[in-house]
Amino acid sequence: MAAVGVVALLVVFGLALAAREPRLSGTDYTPPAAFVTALQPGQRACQGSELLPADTAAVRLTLGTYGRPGPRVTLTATGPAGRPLTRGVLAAGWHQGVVSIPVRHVSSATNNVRICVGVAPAPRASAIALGGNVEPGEEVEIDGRSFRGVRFRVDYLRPDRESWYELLPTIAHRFSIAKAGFLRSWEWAAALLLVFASAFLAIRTVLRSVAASERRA
Amino acid sequence: MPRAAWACAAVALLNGLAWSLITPPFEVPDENAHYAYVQQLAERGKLPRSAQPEGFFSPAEDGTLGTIYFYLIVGRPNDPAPFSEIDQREVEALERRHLRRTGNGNAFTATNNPPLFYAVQTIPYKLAGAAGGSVLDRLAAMRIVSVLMAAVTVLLVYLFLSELLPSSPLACTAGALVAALQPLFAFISSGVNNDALLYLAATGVLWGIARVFKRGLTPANGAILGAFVGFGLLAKLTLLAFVPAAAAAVAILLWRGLRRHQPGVLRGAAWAVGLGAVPIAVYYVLNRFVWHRSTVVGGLGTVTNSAVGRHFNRLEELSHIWQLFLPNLWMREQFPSYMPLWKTWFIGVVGRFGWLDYEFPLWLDDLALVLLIVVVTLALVELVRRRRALIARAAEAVVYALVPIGLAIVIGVQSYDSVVGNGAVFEQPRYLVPLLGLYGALVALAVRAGGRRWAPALAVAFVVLAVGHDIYGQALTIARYYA
Repeated sequence: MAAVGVVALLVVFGLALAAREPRLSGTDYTPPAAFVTALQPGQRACQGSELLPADTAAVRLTLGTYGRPGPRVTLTATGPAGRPLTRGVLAAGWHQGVVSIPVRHVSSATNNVRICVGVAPAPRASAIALGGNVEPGEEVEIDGRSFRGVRFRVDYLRPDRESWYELLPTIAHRFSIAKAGFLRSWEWAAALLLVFASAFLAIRTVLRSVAASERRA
Repeated sequence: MPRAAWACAAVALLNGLAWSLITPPFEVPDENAHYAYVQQLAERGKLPRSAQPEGFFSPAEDGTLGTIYFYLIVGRPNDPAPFSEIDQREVEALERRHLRRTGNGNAFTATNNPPLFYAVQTIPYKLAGAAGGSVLDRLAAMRIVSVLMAAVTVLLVYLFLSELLPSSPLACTAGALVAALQPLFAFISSGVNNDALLYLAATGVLWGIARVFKRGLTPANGAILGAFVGFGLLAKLTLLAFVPAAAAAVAILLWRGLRRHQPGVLRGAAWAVGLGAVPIAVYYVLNRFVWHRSTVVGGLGTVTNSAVGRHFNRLEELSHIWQLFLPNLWMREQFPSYMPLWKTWFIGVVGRFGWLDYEFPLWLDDLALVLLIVVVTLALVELVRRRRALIARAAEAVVYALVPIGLAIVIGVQSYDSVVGNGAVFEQPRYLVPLLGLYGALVALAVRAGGRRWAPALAVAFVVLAVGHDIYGQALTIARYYA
């Protein structure tokens, strides 16, 4: 009975962990609460203070198209000294919503990055809107003109789709970030060990209790 | 003490430690406020007091909360914990600044709580500090003490069940293990939150009640019951919910004992009342006249000033309490957009984690409902089958029934005050976790219903399901914060 249950659990969790999906390499934590900026054909919106994380191969934005097919969109990321870090293009024809723009792979993290989103010029392109939030102290620059108090949401994605198994080394590393100093390097291993140890001890305890009750009977 | 009891406690310890490592710092509800309380007590030797501007803690804590993106993560299920080495370097740079550890003396939502939990937590706080620990180090050390409280809670669940069902050690083991693996209990107890000590005391009161009914109101048993009530009230005033049940148990057994001329019964009652009442009375006097703090959290009286233009109405309060826990029958709707019995309590207790910002998928809640119906049906079958024993222990059963009723009233009164006072939702699923002992008893009764033939299979099945439920909760938490 216990063996059947444990095997069933392992199969269910094993299959769930095999699901392959796009995984985050980071985010700028701006809530995508509303469309905060509109870009006309040929315009470009930029915002600074982004942390471009390592292992980024796509950038995810919330884009609106006013019901039309999406125009060609370009994205560039430049470092603090104006050094280009990566760029990417989303071909025309996409649908409004949450969209991913593939970019050249970024292998190391950079802080204070400027992200710019541009729309192809008319006549073939149409306007788009960028999803983000009202954020006091922030600003978005459109063609050199500053719009204060808004910010658009930027999510950074890792290459390809990954299963949880493939993501495990990354999760292990993330466990070490912003944690107690005495836990940092071994926290993921301890957590994994404790999860399995408590499950093992629980099942062993109930099995021993079953054996004891059968002896008494 | 049976080895199985220690094993169940060890499961709670290991599981709680796993949760404490998996859950990022300050992501257990109100952990920032509870940490601030401990810090105020440890650094200044004083209890916190309301101060303006509310919500600002010490520079050390505020700085840490900022660098770990606390305010950007809480309540936003799509925003993970910090990922990058750059974030880590900022945390380390902040730690090197050794910012001041005293604030304006305010501990936000925890300010008016009684001090016992926080006094205990000053020990790991100071030990971690003596080793040069930062805010995050101290928090991690304090979490270990909370987890130890969870382990003792599960030990008490086992002891309670073994008093309740002394001839069924297998049922007791299964009930205690399922309690140890309840994900919401483990999650809350893995953080710095005075609920951890409340759960321990509440389960201790249940054990104390079971002891006095089974072994008599001796001075020792009266002292055990009174002590759990007394220190539980100093942990969190929610334990007031258990006072009617404890008082009823003492009154019934005192009456029985006096009629039967049992020796020591008066002394047993005196110990229970003394240890139950004296600590809270002393706390009340000190709080009011020495520390000049508000005594009753949330207010158990009526609301005089409403920020949302509502008026306190006793009948409406009763209706609110009813609808908070039971389906609305004929009353004016108090929760027009949702049914608390399902959305707040059932789904929430199955597992709503973080600052109430992520939970299991709905299919699991549906499955849990089916399983609950099976467990309740089995437990009822067992009670009907043993109706003679149940009738003989009717007074004890009524006392246990007073526990959830008392808790419902304490939660409901504060919920109504909150709605009338400022229009806010007060209730959270974790407020039902003090009933963990009764949850274990339900499972134990269901196992016993299987009889000699099926009880082993039921016990194993329930424990394996509880393991799966708990690990799924941990996996959800990893996905929420690290992926």
